[in-house]
Formats: sequence, C-alpha cells, structure tokens
Amino acid sequence: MTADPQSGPLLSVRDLRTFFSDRQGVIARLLRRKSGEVRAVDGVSFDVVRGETLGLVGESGSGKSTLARTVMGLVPATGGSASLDGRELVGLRRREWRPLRRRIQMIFQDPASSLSPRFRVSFLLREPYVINKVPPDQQASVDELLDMVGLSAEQADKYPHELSGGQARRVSIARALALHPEVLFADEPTAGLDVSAAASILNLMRDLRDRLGLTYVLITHDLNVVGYFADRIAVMYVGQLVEIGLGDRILAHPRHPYTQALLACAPVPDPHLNEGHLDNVLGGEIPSPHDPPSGCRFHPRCKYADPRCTDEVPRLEDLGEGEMVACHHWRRLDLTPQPPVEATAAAAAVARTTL
Amino acid sequence: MSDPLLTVAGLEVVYHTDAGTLPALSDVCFEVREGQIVGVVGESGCGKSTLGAALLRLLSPNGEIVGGRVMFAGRDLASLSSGELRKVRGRGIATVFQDPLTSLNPTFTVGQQMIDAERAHGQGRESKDVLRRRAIDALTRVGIPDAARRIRNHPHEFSGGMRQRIMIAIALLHEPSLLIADEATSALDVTLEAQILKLLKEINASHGTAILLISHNLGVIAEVCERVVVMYAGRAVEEGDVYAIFDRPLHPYTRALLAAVPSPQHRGTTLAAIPGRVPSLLALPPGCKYADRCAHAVAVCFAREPASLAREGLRVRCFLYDDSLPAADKPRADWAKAPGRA
Repeated sequence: MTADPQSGPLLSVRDLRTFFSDRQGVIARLLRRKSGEVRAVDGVSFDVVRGETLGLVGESGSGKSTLARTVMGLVPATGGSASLDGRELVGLRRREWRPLRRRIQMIFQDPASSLSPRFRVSFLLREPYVINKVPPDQQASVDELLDMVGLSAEQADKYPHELSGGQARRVSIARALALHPEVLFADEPTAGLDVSAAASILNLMRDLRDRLGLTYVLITHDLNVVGYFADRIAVMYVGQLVEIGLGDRILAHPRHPYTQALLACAPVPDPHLNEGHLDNVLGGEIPSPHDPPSGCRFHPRCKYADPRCTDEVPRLEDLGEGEMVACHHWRRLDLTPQPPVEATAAAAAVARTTL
Repeated sequence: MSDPLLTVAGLEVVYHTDAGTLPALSDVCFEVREGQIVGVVGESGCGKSTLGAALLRLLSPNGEIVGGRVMFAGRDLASLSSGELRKVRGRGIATVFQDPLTSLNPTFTVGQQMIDAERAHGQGRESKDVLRRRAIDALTRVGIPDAARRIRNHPHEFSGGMRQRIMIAIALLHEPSLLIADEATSALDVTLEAQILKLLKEINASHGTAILLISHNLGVIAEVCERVVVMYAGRAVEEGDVYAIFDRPLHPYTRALLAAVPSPQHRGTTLAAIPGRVPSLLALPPGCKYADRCAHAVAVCFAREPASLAREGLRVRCFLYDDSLPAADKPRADWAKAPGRA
C-alpha cells in the first residue's frame, strides 16, 4: 500500500445528501397520492486517503451507487460537500469539472450498457481523450491501454457484443484508466461474472493499484470481495452510513447490528462454517428510501431496538482512528473484547485527518 | 438409505442451432434421494440450467434429449406422454426459476394465478373457495404476512424477495416430492437470499421435500446442500458429499473453482484465477474438456475423454485417478503448480 500519511485525505465527503423529488403526474395528484422525495443519500461523511481502498457495502436501495454518482458529479447533490485534494466538487459547472475529471474516474456497473454497441473497442478507448480534449502527446495508445488490462491487441477491432463479460469489464477499466486518474470508483466490478473471471478482474485491479498507486472506492454487495480487497469498509443502509472502519476489525468484530446481521448471513464456501448459520437470519425487508423508518432506519429489523431507536436518529459517533458507528446501543452490544487495532499507515493517516 | 427418488443416467441433451448441433449435456449421471438437498454448481454455459429444464422436459424447442434416462419415482420421464408428464409436473416435481417477474403474469392477481395452477393439476372439481383457502395457506406457509388480503394483489405490488416466496408457494401447492430451484436466490440481496435459503431448508425438514438446487454460488451450495454435482462444459466432472467436495476435492477444476473465490483470508495475495476460458460448445476439444486449462494435463487428457470413477467416496472424471492407465501415460498430480487448496 502506498498511503501517504503526510497529506490530508485525497477524497473527503461531508454530510453529502442526494434527494430525488418524485413529483407526481396529473392522475396521481388528482388521486391525492402522497408525493415527496426519495432520500437516496442522506448525510454521508467519510475520508479516503491516497493509496487506500475503501469498500462501500450495502444492499439494493442503500444508495451506494447514487453516492458514487453524486461524488462524480453525474447526479446533482442536494447538499453537503465532496472534495478531491481540497477542491470542492459539489456544485461545479461542467467546464469546471473538466480538469478534475482526469483525476477521478468510474468503472460503471454494467459494461453492456456503459459501452456503446455502435463503436469498436479502439474508438471506445480513445473516446475519453476526445471528450476531455487531451493533447496527443499525453495520450496512451490503444495497444498500451489494452495491454495494461491484459487484453490482446486484436481486441481493438471488436465490438462490445463480441467480448465476453470479463473482457468487456476490462475494456471499461481501460477506459477509466486512459486519463490516468488518481481515484477510481468501481461500481460492482465483479457482478455477473463467473468465479474465475471475477478472480482475474480482482487480480487486475490489485495489480493496477500496486503499479499505478490508485485509490479505489469499491462498491459491492459481495462481502467476500470487499473482505478480500478493501483496506477499510463502509457499510450503508437506506442512504446512510451505519459503520466505517478497518476491514479486519469490521469482519472480526462488527459493531453495528446491521453489519453483524449482514456478515452473519453471507454465504461462505465452506460447509463447516455454515452449521447453524441460517438460525440468525435477519428478518424483514429493506425499507424504501421513499418512506424510511423514523429514528434509526434499521430499528424495525433490529433485535436490539428499544423506544429510543424509534424516536431518535443515532448520530455517526467518531471513535477515532477512522472508526465510526451510528447506533445508540453499540457499547452495550459490544460483547466481544476488542483486539488492538493494527496501526497501519492508512489507519494512522486517517486518524490525523478524521472528522 | 432410501431408494433414489430421481436417477439421472447418461443424460445427453443437444441444442439444434443455425451454427450446428451443440452438445449441452453429455453423459450426466447422479441421484437425488428422498428428502435430500443436492446442489448443481458450475460457471455459465456449463449446462446446469439445461439439466434442470431437461428433467421436466421443459427444454426450449430447439433442445432435444438424445440419450440417457431420467427415472423419477420408478418411472422413466422420457417415455411419458404429455398428459402423464403433466401429472408429474407440479405434483411430483416443481420448479422455481431465478426471475419471478418472468414466471408470474403481471396482469392477474397472485390469487388468480395460484388458483389456475391448482386447477391445471387436476383439482378443478373443488370449489373456488377451497382453492382460495389452500392458496392463502400456501402463502402463509412461505412467510407472506396478511396473505388473505395480499392474495388480491398483483405481482408488481410485491418486493423481489416476496415474489420469490410466492413462486415457492405455487411450487409447493401440490406438495411435490422434488423441488428444482434454478438460481432461485441469485437476484436477491444477501439478507433476502439467506431468508429464502432458510425457507427452503425448513420446507425440506418439515415436508421432506427433496431439493435440486442449481447455483453458480459456491457459498449457497455449501450452505444448504448435502451432496454436490460440479459441472463443466456439459459434464458432471465431480460428484459427492458436500464436505468431501469442499474439504478434499479431487478434480482439478473443482479445486481451481474453490481457490478462485475471494475471501478475507486471501487478502494481500493474488487470487488463483483459472487460465483460459470455458470451451465453446461448438468446438469442444476431443479429450477432457478441461485439459487446456489444467496444469496436470498430459497427452491422454487431450486424446480421449476420462470416464467417471469412484474414488474416496466421490465420483470424478479425471485421468489422475484412472489406475487402468500405464504409469507412463498417467498425468501426475502436481498441486504446487495448479491453482487449488493444498
């Protein structure tokens, strides 16, 4: 890891909010249906230091993709701040974004819908240069980009539909890398891939991180992937962060009841570890961000909930060393002794730059 | 040990396409005993969904069973007339597919569809009230709250997890002895997936329903199955008890597959990705279909297909375990070179 503890956080997000209004059509208004707003991202704060990988986990509707798109400026933020190396990103005009785009890029979730079917791979790889008006001497060649992501030069003449799922994913990664970004958001980079294709994409991402010193925000629902790849893990539930901390600590000693439940029901490819595994399955459904529960958003599904959880929104408590949790009762629930948190370079850096 | 409920022996399925005849399944053999949960695992294109469809003769029109037998409760399903087969479907064997939205009709209420399903399988003489009552009971059993009211809702009014519960309720209406679940939890979030897996295990325990669980997810397979069939390029390459398969797999593909799953224990190491790609069914190599990705492959592996052998409580298709080969021709196990657990 190439974390640089001297500088501040590379990416800093504070109280970021993204609401979508769902203004209703005429018929719905005549029927007096309730209209309102969907609070897709509701007050999220975190830091990412240079060279580290932050894993962002959550189930559908947790707002993790919207969070990434808001930071990238693809969806307007309703409030709060997101800054890259001290430069505010929220509220920038299109023209102001251009120099920053080269520093922060995204690997989109579904290559089939993010790669235009009308263009060959060679054009898709040059497109970022055209859009960002990059002078030719700063452009990497198509061959170089293909080589960087482990594709052969013949792939340049293919159309996206001629590629396998893993190859299309590599083209998406090459497009994101064309501009030499410092921060890369990877939205479900292994979703829909077979086990061995997913493994080689993760190997590629790891290799690129080591070679190029990339900083990743890895968005995934797969706890095995995040446990393998991320230095720190942030857990989202219905638009809010419930817990953030070092990966090893979260996996071994989750503090938030939702993180505990999520880890408890993740299937592990080992039949020995699965005995009695399904006994403590989290009941209920993920609430809609359109009408989230009062107080703590997890309280209807939480076995530890009491009246305070129904009424009072728990704040994200800062425990230092980049560890935060949003639960009224985590201290009471924290039954397992905490092992000393290993002070890695990233943790030390985060400690200095934390809220 | 009880008699096998389902016996698949030498099953061969092809798809007729413009590009040629695709051998989708070749010599697939396994058994499901009463009340057992058997998993079928493999990557995309390995034939696991074709297998599920072939058992009930629900293959797409260009698919054809060209060999082998499927014996269910003592009868050969391949020889049944469509009328007899209809009785087996639903009452003997029922299926739950991955996407409930394509299986449920969006224009009818859930209750109407359930009553139709009951009538389709020969309970037409009962009054609508009786059928309705049974549908409500079935929904309640799979954990749909307030089923008596919810039965009047359309499919889009339910969440993804609830829709999959409805599919399971429909599948269980006639108390089948075998339930085929084809990627039934793959589209669901982690917590909902766990709920559905728990439900399947409860149904298995309370009703003794045998389950054939088709999944690409090794975690899901390890979680609920007693026995596992590992498929590769239309072949069952390894089959056996779940603990044996996960603890000491024999086939190089099974070992490689298990080693490629990321986990926190692998952090900081390079994952053992399998080199190369699954061969196209249009151009299958003559020998072992895994040979060109296998670290142990020798001449014989490329020349002819290995037979299924019984070894260490498992059935495995690999020349590594074929003692009839002269020692000089036999591949040697060199696990240090190959991806896989030591």
